[in-house]
Amino acid sequence: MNAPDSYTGWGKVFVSLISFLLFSQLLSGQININGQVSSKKGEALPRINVMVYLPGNASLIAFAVSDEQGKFKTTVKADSDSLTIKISSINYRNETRQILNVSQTLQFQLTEDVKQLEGISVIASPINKYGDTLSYLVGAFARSEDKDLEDVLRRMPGIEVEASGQILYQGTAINKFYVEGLDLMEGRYSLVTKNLPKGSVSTVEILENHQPMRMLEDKVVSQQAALNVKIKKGVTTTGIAQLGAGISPFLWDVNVTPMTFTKKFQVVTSLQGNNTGNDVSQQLRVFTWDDFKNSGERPSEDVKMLNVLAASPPEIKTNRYLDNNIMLFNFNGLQRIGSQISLRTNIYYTYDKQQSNTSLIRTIYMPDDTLHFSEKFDNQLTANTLYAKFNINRNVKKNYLNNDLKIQSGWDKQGGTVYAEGNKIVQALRNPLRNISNDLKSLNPIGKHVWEFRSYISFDHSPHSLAVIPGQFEDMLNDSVPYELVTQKIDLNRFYTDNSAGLVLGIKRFTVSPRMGITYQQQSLKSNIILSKNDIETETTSEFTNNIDTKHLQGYLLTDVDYKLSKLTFSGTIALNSHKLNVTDIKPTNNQELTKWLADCRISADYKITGFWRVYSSGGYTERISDFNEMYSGYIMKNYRNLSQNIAPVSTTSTQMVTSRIEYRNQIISFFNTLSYVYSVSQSANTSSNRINTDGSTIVTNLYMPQTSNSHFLQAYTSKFFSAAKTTLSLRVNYFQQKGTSVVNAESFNTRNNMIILKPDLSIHLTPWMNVDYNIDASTILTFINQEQKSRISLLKHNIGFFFFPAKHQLFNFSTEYYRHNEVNNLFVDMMYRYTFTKKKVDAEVKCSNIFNSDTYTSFLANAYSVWETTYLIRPFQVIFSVKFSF
Amino acid sequence: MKIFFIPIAIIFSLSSYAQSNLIYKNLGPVKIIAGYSLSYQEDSTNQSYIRNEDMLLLMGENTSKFVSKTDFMNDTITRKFSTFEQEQEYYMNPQRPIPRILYKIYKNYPKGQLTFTEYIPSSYFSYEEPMDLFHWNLTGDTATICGYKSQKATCNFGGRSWSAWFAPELPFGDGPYKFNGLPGLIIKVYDTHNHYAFELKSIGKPAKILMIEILEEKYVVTTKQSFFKAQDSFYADIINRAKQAGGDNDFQQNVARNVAQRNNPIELLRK
Repeated sequence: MNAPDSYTGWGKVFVSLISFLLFSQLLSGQININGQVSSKKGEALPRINVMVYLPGNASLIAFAVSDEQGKFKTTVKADSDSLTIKISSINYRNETRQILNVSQTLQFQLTEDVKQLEGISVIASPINKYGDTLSYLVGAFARSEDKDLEDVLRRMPGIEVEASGQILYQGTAINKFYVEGLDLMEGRYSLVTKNLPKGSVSTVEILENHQPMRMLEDKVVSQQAALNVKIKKGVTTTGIAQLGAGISPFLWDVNVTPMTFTKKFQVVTSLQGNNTGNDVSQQLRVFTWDDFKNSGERPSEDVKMLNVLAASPPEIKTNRYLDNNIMLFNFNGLQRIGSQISLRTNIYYTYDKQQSNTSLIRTIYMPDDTLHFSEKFDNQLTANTLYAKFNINRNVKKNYLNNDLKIQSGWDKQGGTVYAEGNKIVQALRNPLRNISNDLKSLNPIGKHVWEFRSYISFDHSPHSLAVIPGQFEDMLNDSVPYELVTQKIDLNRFYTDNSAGLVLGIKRFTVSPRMGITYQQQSLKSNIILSKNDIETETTSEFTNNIDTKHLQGYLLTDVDYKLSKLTFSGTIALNSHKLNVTDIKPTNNQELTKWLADCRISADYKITGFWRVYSSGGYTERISDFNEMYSGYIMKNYRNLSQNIAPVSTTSTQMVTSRIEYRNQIISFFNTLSYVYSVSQSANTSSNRINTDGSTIVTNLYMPQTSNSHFLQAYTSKFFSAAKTTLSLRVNYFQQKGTSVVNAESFNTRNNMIILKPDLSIHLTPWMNVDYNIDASTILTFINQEQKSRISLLKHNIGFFFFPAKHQLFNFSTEYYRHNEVNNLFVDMMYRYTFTKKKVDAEVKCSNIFNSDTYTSFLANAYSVWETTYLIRPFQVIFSVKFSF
Repeated sequence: MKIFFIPIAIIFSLSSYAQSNLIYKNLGPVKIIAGYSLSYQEDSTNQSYIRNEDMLLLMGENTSKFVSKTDFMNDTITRKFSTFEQEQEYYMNPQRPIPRILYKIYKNYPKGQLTFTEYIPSSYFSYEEPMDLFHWNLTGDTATICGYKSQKATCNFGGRSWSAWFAPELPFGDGPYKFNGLPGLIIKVYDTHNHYAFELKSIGKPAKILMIEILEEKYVVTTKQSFFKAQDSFYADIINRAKQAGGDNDFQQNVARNVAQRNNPIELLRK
């Protein structure tokens, strides 16, 4: 067996085969080699490799690794007189020793050698390679059956395309998708990849380790790549189209999205419309974490002081009830200036005509009386919205700057007819809105830290008017004489700015993030009520007009502190706000001034007792100044049956809240339990006093009258998965109680609402292609006035969902909801079948909704002393067939 | 009735948001980093459904850590952020790299054992297993792989038959996944069906000081069998878990379809 050290090919296989045959046939000749490895100092050395070779042969025949005592043991079975022992390790010099092929005990004393690692030939260190740009020529990868860019991308090595359209490079999602170096789509790039014909693309570039924020280039190494598409011809126009039609009545659904790319300028446009109840304007709204975080303090974007009375939308999907006629036009454009600045524009226009029919039974409970009012609403909404957003982004090494300028203009018209107590009342509302806002964000390094500066400015103008025929509130407005028409006019101008700077400091297990800033709000509210009698307009007295200027300056210092241990996390927030408020009323007696320091604080602890048990608890205290939009000394007719004024002084409301939650989640036995509890109590100086007239109209006056209200919320949830039956059983129990004080018709009383919901659910996932879900939703609402139960509503709903995938490209879905209320059965059944032709990229879908043609849906709402029972007219039985394809 | 729930939902979603400031335990400096590519067939019935992931084996004096490269870099990147905003932006970015392989394996930690940790929403699990899991049979086959003279050894593990090529020139008794115990680094290891294949792509020293670190979390400390039970139940009960997480019907059905394709775990023996 003295084969040469370096043999190749067949020789190797031959030798391996021979040695295999020899070894397996040798019954005798097994020897044991034991021994110990230590250092020159005599320390036992663990994890040292002891390798046994036949002399002159590179193929290992036995080995051992030394244990913690430095001992090793191996068995060798070889037909040779002698053996070669090699000792190797990371920190000690290798040794080789020739021994006789007999059982024996060996001692090795190794010499330390730190340079051992230097001998390793390095192959491209995995973490430190970056910055490469790879180019793929599309012509080299495309095949004749490929249609669009996505098909070709799938063929390129290292690139994967997910079913969702997401592109991965080396298994990691790309962080930017550029066309000609420009980021037009902001992540929604599948619209481009699925529709850009392969013939228009010359090259696809992969930019490895791409850091989109240039300021962070040296600080944060990106592990993600970006993809850049280079277009072959100057201009490419492509797009997708979806057409759908159905019956009863004629239904239509259109979506056409063409796009154009030039090297300097890129545009994607979209035209969509339907009357199938799909509110496509929802998809235009993009909510980011920033919007969510800041929305709490900023004044709301649309002012809804006046309204055409309508029921609040039910908790079912909009396409069940919405009778719409919507058209939407959307434009995205991008222009790059130089290499640092990009300008992006998003403009959309929506036109929507909605029709709704609802009926409302309103029950008002008082200590000694109960009032019932019934109304039928027949409302039309014509909404026109034009929205434009201009973005400038400067992305350089020194800093990062992003500025959004938003301009929004809406000119909505709403009309409504109410049939109440035998009367017909017509309302017409015009609520145009013009809003302009600017949001600036920049990151700048100052010293060792990165500071964030934010500046937000907004200005809006809402001249609204609500006209009601015949005139209402005649006893207050027209000496109890009926009259033709009443018009409420409002003119509201608002200015708001918020400027702040903040940073994050990490000190061992603490994280402290202070932020300080200044906000300033100024608004002017003018309103008056005009009566029309025999085509002559008359102004009402000063009691029904307002002319108020409000100025509010606030300085704040907000600090978040986090402290973390392995099991326990504490976090706290302290905010100090200095307020200066100035209200100037045209009636000087109503002028007000307020200078006040308010504090907010919150503390929470999260403790993981074991891997299964977890406890969370938090407590907080907040103080808020009353809402300026609700401060008006003159009456305002908010809707045809509500006349409100607020003569209470500016005040603060304080709220304390306690939250606790305990969890037991054992995944090994699939048993999950959560119990949570929220208690909140708030004290306010003012209370609204309601005067409810016999016709249901209400006059509201906000008065100084301190009151306390509180609420309890308790939720329990348990779920268990039975793997043998492939079934999950779960139960959710909610209990909610709110208590407060109300003033109705000069009588003050306590109110309490209780709500209990039980929701058991059974879900069976029999096979990967079929699953069934059945749940019951049992709810009870109780209303108490001065501890006496006045109302109890119970509702039991059954829901069944069935999903079936008969084949890979097919989906069948059946869902049904049943409940019985007031002796009426309500049954809703929907069916959907979808077939996807993958090759041709065509999706065909048939949808049957409301198969049993149920016509109404009822829901309940309870608050303080009133209960609303709302019945919605829903969309009838309909069938829609739709096809989606790209061109 | 809807109005009652909105504030509650916000409270809970906010309280569970803060992810920052994780605490790690240091197990010593990294001496050598080996980069492996893993390609695996997630769906045993579909040969064209091959997934790829880059993995790292960080080897120190006494212990080693085996982790997905994306996972490792995510950890590294988020810990470098100096503002909370950056971290939020990173986590809220839908394009953020999301590793598919979530387990981390610490060898010889504790001594003579390996520690396996993995996140199954919403808990961190860990179990220990003895290091000497593998009864290697040497073959006489040798070859040069990645420029290293290597020899092949075979073993049975987790219901699969494995072939491993190790390089005695690299005197580390380590390898990808749990594989170890050969007198040289395992540079290629695959099962007979080629459902899982790890291959060395790079090896070198870290450019700057790098530590082997283990997250100090309240792990669910359990056995391998219980971990497998939790993992299998998660997949079998996926529709319900998606519902608990607030996903709508379409989302639940999509997740269930995707999970049905993950039927080929690396260790087939589940009990």
